[in-house]
Amino acid sequence: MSYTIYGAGNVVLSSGGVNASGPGTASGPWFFGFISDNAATNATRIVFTETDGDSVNPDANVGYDTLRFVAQAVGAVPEPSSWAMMLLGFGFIGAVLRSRRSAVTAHS
Amino acid sequence: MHNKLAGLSALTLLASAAPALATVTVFDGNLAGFNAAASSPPVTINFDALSGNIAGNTISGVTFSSPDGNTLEVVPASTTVSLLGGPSHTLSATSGLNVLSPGGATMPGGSTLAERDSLQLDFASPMTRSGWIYCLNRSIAAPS
Repeated sequence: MSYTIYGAGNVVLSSGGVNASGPGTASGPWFFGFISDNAATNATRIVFTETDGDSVNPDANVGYDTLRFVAQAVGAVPEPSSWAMMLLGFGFIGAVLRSRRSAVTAHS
Repeated sequence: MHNKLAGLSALTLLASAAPALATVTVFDGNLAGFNAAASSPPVTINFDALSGNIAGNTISGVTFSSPDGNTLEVVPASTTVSLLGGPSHTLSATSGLNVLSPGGATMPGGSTLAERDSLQLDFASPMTRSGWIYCLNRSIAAPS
């Protein structure tokens, strides 16, 4: 079995094999989870792929049992680093305005 | 001087608008690690109040579908599956009563549609953290 996690615009954020794949005996329960640390990598879609496409290896039956999740809050608050960068930007704008005002005063 | 400062401020504003480097951390087979890192998200869907084929249904903001066009059957956890009259197995729930079994709890063998257990989840609100507990029963005997 494999997984693919998609973000906004169906961009693939992560993909790979899921534990419990491979020939032989297996039993549950198994777990798969992910955490995104930024709004840019929050998932919009997850696809688990299990085809059982060959008739040589033993076939498997997968049951999905319990789904836990936390969705992105509507109107999420920017992270502290984003706030800091924004404040820095406003600081520069203030500096520009102040220097322009000084220049105008000096000329007049 | 003014132009330089204006350019710098514009660059800074652009930088503040761009997202920070972000990552997705996967927890494969590591429920304890996931719960520790994700502060144990609540169980949101366990299928206990559902029945029948839920393919195409949206439950708690999550739309369930099969990439193969298979059915997505909610079955009792005690459902026994067998492979071509071979050994029988049980889909054991980790919590509650029911599990979701793509194609139903039958194992006709080979590459028939009912054997394809793929699952697609579409989220109405992007997920910051999500985890599945799933059960898998693999037949010991190969189909003849």
